[in-house]
Amino acid sequence: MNKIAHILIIEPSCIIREGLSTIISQKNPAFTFVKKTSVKDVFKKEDTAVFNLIIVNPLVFNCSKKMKNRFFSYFKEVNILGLISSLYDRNFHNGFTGCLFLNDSSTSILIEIEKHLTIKLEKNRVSDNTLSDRELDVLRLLAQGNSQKEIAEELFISIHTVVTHRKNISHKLGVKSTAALVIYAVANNIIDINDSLKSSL
Amino acid sequence: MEGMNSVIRQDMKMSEILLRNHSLILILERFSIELGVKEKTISDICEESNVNTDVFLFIFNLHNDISYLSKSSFQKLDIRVIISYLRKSHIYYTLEVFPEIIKNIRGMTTSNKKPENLMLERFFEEYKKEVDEHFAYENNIAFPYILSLLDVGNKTKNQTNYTISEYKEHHDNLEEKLDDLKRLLIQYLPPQNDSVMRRKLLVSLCNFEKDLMVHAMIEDNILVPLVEKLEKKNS
Repeated sequence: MNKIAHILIIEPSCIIREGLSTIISQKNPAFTFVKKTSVKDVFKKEDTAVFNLIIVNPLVFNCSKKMKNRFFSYFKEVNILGLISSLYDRNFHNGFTGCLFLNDSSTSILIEIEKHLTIKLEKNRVSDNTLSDRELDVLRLLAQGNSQKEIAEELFISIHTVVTHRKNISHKLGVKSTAALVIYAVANNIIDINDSLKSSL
Repeated sequence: MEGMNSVIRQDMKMSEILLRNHSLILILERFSIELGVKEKTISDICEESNVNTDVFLFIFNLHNDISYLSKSSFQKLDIRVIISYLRKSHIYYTLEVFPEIIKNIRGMTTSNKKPENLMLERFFEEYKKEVDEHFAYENNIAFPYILSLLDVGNKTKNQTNYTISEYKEHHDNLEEKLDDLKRLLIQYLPPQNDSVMRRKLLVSLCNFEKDLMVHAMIEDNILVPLVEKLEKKNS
């Protein structure tokens, strides 16, 4: 593993940021890093293709889907790993090509890094803006097999609102049956395949 | 579709019509008409095969161009022949179309084992179950009821309160899931070395969809009005 790679790390925590780059450098002394604490100034770079890999903590997007989408489309040529450093919703890391977890051993971190430097970028990692955040919430819960009443309770909205969201989702996607929406949700990484097994399909 | 522009008449040569619109070949076997039609006209063939020419021509024209429905009168068509045609289509769907679609879904999942692809087969199995139930209802309840209405010497046979309006209600939309499946394949499932099998699957789905559309049209827009008229006459 004596290659050269230029890696962008975006992580607010100094300990984590420096720790991660140290782990990678120990094995790969030729790797170079750009380290940032936020996404604010990364968009200024003129050439987006300079990085071979990006490792970003999803927290830096402040839960803003818009910001995440902007980031992903800006770096659409590069594999992006999520750096997961806290308790999180499993859907949080949707769209990343892989993830690093805080309790990962240095070996598995290095394996993950190596893997994503060599594999081809998945072509379908396109941020999908078709559905709103709320519609995505409803679709996810629906695809996991929840009833309209359960969805309403989970999201603190009325059943009527759930029904409206459900209608809008079908209208926007052109997909009417719940079973087909489950397949859509799996294909677009909105839910995990294991979640869908719980649902009635 | 490559349908003929004009209305198909009984004095036209069968071979010419089939060469111009090959999708009509499918209709022949539902009337037990065999290929090798030589120079014969439609009326020759219908007479030879003991087929009701009016119903045959009507269904043939409808498959050629669905706007035929509004151009022609179906009031005098023989209900028995229509039902026989519908039953034969059911058999064709069950024995040929569904197995072919499932084969194509499996073909697609062998080349692309993504979880969403594996879910397609189950989706279609569920759909097939609904359609099979629908066919069974028609074959075992609706059609026998209609035939009993036609049995003039046996008017008391309908002791249940069943009427054709119930059939209309039972006739929910079977095309919706088919449409969803097409949408998923065309628009939403990411490609992954499955284009040939996906195309085969889509072609089989689209052919079935088109056939089913005309099938439903015959049931809803021809059979139901005819039976309603018959019910009124009998009561």
